[in-house]
Amino acid sequence: MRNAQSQKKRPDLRSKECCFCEKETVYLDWKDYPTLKPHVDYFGAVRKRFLTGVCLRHQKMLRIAIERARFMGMLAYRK
Amino acid sequence: MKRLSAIDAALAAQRLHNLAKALDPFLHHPLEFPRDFPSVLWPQGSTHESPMNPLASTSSQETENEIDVRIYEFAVLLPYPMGQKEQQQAVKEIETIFKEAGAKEVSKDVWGARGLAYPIEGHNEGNFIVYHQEIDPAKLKEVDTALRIVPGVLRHIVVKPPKGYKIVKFSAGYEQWLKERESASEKTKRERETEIQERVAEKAKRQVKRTERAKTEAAPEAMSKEEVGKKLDQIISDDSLGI
Repeated sequence: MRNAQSQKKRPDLRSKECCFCEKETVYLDWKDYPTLKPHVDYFGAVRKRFLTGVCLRHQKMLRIAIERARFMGMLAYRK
Repeated sequence: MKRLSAIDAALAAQRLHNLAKALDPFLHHPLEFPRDFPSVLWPQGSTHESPMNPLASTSSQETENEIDVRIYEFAVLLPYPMGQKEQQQAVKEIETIFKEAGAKEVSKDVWGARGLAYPIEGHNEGNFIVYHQEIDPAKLKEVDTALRIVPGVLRHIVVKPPKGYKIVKFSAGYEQWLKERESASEKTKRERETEIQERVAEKAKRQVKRTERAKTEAAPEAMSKEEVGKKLDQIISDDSLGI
C-alpha cells in the first residue's frame, strides 16, 4: 500500500501563467540558450503550450528563436 | 446656375475627400497603406510632388534617412579547432565584406569555443562571432551572398532586431550560467537532502509535543493544608531522621 505522503498531486496545468508575459518580453533572442532550453524537450522538440503555460504570442516568438538556434547549431533538430 | 450631373457631383466629392486626406492625416482610411510602406507606393528615387501625396514634401526626407541605415545582427559560426592564421584570415575577409558594403560596426562579440548540438561538417565545436552593423538594407543581399562564399564559415545568419533592442554580449552571461547551473544529479541530491531535513524537523517537533504532554499529565495534584501538616508532624516525630 502506497504511503499517502509519497503520492504527489500533479499540478493543474491550466492555471499556469505565461512566464514571458510576467516579464513583458517583446523579443526572444535565439542566442539566449538558458531561456530557450526549458522550452525544448529531451528529444529536441518544442514543448507544447499546454505543458509550459506560454501564451500564443510568445509561443510563436519561441518557435522562431528555436528554429534559428537549431540552424546555428545551438539546439538540436532531433536528438 | 447650371445644375451638376450626378457623376460630376460624385467626382467633385471624391476630389474634395482626397484633398482633405492629404491635408489632414487623421482622415486617412485605416485599410489603406500606412506611411511606413514607401517602397510599395512611393519607390525611392521617384518624384512625387502632387498635393495628393502626403509624403511629398514633409516626411520624405525622414523616410529616406530611416531607410538608409539600420542596425542588423550578423552571427557567424567558425569551426573551433581552427588554425590561428586561418581564423584571422576568415575574420579579416568577413570584416572586409562589411567595409565594402559601407557598414559601420556597432559591436562585436566573440564567444570562443562552444559545443554544437549536432556535428556541422564534421566539427562538434564552434566559435561564434556576433556583429552588430549599421548598414544600408539594399546591400544586405550582397553581404549575405558574400558570407556564404567565405571559406571556413560554417553558418551565418542575418537578423533584424526589433526597435529598442539592447545589444547584450552573451559570452559573459553564458559562462556565468554554466557555473551557476546544477546538473541533474546535484539537483536530486539537493532535493533528497531537503526532504530529509524536513522529516527530521517534523520528528523533532513531534517529540517536543510528546514531552510537553507527558509533563502536563504527570503533574502532581496539589495537597491540602491538613495533609501537609500531618506529613510534617510525621517527619518531625520520626527519631531515625535525627532532626
